[in-house]
Amino acid sequence: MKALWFFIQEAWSSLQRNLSASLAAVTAMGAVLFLLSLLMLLSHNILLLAGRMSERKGVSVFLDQEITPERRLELEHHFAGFAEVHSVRLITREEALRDMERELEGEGLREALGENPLPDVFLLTPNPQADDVTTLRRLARELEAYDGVEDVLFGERWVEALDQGLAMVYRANAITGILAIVAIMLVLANTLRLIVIMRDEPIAILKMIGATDAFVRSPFVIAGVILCLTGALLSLLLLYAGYRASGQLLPGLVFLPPSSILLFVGGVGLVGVAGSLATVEVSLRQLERRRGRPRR
Amino acid sequence: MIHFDHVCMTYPGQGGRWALDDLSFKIEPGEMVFLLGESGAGKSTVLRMITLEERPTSGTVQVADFGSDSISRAEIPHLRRCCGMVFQDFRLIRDKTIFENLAYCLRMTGTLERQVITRAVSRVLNAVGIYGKRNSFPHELSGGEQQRAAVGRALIHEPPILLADEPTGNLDEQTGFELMLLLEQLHLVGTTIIVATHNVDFASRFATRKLTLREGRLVEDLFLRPHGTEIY
Repeated sequence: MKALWFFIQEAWSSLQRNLSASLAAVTAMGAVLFLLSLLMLLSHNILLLAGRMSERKGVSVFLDQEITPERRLELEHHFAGFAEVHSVRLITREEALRDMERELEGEGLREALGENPLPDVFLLTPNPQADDVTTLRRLARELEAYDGVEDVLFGERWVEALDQGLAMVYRANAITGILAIVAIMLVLANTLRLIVIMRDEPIAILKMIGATDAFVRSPFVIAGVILCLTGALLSLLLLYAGYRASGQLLPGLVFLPPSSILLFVGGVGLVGVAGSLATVEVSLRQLERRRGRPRR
Repeated sequence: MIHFDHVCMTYPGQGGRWALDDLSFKIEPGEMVFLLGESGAGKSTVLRMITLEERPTSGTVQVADFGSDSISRAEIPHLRRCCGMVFQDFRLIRDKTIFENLAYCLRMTGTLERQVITRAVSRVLNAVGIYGKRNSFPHELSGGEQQRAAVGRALIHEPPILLADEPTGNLDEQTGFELMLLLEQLHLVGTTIIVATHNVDFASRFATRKLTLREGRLVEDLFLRPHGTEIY
């Protein structure tokens, strides 16, 4: 712990010595990460909305008018056993007609129709893991093949549209994430390389008096992580300020939950560690080559 | 303690000219050896080879338990802590105080307790006579004081070997003499001292042994009495 504290102090000194470069790096990272966090915020809200819409996903299985109660019960048990099916609810033709009367507020509907034209219906709620359009389409085909089933509907178009929309959100997140990682790595590499070059002489002295590679490397790696985390916090502050400011404009907007914030900061921290390790290693090697001696 | 065994070494880009040419000698514990010779004779290369900043093109260098042909990368820092180094240009870290320069050496070996560091650094700074300058930065000190700080840094791990590359090169005659007295005191308490220098007078006054190099070859190996009197 004392060692870590010592390295943090050394890293902080390095950043202060190169204040303008450090500030430029934090600003650039903050800007990149702001875009990423903004996309995360939008994605989070889209996913919340999509989650609510997904709850309405279901498969309606219309049964033959002449189906016997025994066969109906048999089918209900059978459908409930499907891995893709979470629950099965039966709406009898009587219930369906009552619902229809209620919705249409038509007291004489039953008399007007004479005979109840509506079939019995099973409403199948799919499991969350199996509510994509491909699975539902396959399930519908399987259900249609059963004796006693007249028709199967599951709102194919809107389910497909929802799935495509979500896939686009995930793709956009992945692409932006990768671009953000590349941008952070580039900014980090340039800043750390500059800091390492500025410390050329002390590094040479330390190596000569017996410092290990890890001792020489650690303050620079920590400096890189500090830069990344500061950039991440700056971007989150900007995002929160923007969120508060747009409260009236977008009243339903929800801010990122703590788990997403932790994931974001932790992810940036990890990128910082990986990027700093790689950059510092390369920079130290370049420095030693420039000094004209192989690294030992 | 130190054994050069038929060591040859050439720097890349020097047309195959030998920086060291079939160099063989042994230095025993407690000797105070002066490496003498013209510029480019190979004195500094010998010192850099002892700390394995350079490696032999052929032959081997053995320093205590570390051999140039068998040492691992992870062992090199340990070897360098066995050999305190003092340079003509002091090589103190400019943005650290003298105290911090010395404390750094302790921290890099895992000594992090403030009290232990303060005690050890104070002891060494007292020994080299610049305790009063502990909070000064290197540029605030005279050349002699900076060189004393460099000696202090070299001594902080109490190394059995102390290497000095032209330690009096940037000092006036009197300050250089005082520094040599300091090195002699270290020699008298058992530290093996190896000094690369042009200064034949200091060698005659302080050396127990003189090794003279010319164009990378050992041309003279002279053993002397402890205080410079020639014995054979």
